[in-house]
Amino acid sequence: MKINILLVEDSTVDRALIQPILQSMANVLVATTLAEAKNFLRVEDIDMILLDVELPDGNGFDFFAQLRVEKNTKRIPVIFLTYKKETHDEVMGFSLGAEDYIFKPVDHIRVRARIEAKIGRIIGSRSQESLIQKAGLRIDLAAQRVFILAEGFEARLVDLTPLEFKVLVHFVRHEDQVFSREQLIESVWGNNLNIVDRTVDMHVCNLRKKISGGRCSLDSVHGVGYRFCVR
Amino acid sequence: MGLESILDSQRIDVMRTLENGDDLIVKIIDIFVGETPARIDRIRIAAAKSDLEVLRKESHLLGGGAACIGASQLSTLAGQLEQIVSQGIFDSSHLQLCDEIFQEWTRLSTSLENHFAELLP
Repeated sequence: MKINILLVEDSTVDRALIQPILQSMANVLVATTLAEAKNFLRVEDIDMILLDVELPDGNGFDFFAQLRVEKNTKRIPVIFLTYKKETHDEVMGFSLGAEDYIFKPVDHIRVRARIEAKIGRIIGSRSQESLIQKAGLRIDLAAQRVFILAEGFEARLVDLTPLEFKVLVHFVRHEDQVFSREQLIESVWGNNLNIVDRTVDMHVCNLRKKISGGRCSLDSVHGVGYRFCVR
Repeated sequence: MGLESILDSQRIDVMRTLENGDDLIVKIIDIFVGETPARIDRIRIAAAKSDLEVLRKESHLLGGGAACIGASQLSTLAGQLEQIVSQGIFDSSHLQLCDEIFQEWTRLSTSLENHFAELLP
């Protein structure tokens, strides 16, 4: 199982060094600005962020503070990247609640050891997170089964295709976020160029019908895409 | 002349232990050498105009990149410039420091160029 790490780093040289270290352990998404990082966080399931402190469109600490108040990002472990001389940054990062601090220029042996340990913890907690229960839905991630829980009734198994299951999990993990069809294709189907918007509509439409007994809905957002809402 | 005589040998050793370390070293130096002339130009222009924001950003990236490849002297000089600019005390008396950076870059890039030229068949 590979986790998704978002590397937010504007220095080409540092990216060239850090990316191969991470790629041996995780799927790596690269953002060179905070705006790009925000886009990734909207559409991807990010398990860990490596965040440079100095970025062209803002400061890593301010961005981190924003992440900590957002429902969908507040639990993502963040590791700051900074140059050795900026020791005051280390104090600042830890006081904000950063997971760790990595000094640049990176020593790949140390970086690998520290990231590996954190990945181990994430995978461990993920395997414990085998059940998501939200808005009248019980999603068994290990068995890939979904039940609708209605008051006074027995849990009803919903018959989903594997793709519908992936789409549902993606939406449930990003409650209230609007996803365009392109974003859904990228997140659920990956880089499959044969998928067209109509395919997304068809899956969402089917899914909408199948979960209609729950306290949630997949709403169309005109001109944009879809959003999972809890009623 | 080995890379160790141009760049910090400890840094080179660290990178060498990576998988495909030698290739990676060349790639990283190549990126640094490729992007630094434009960065030096931006520093030159920003210093002449006392554009502190550009100076801070460019000196930060120059110092970081230099540290990454093990160009210690260039990294130290760029770090000094960044610190001065961050404190808001940059003035014409610091143009001497900019000149030292430009000279160090010229020396470093020439040495690297000669090193890689020697490796050509």
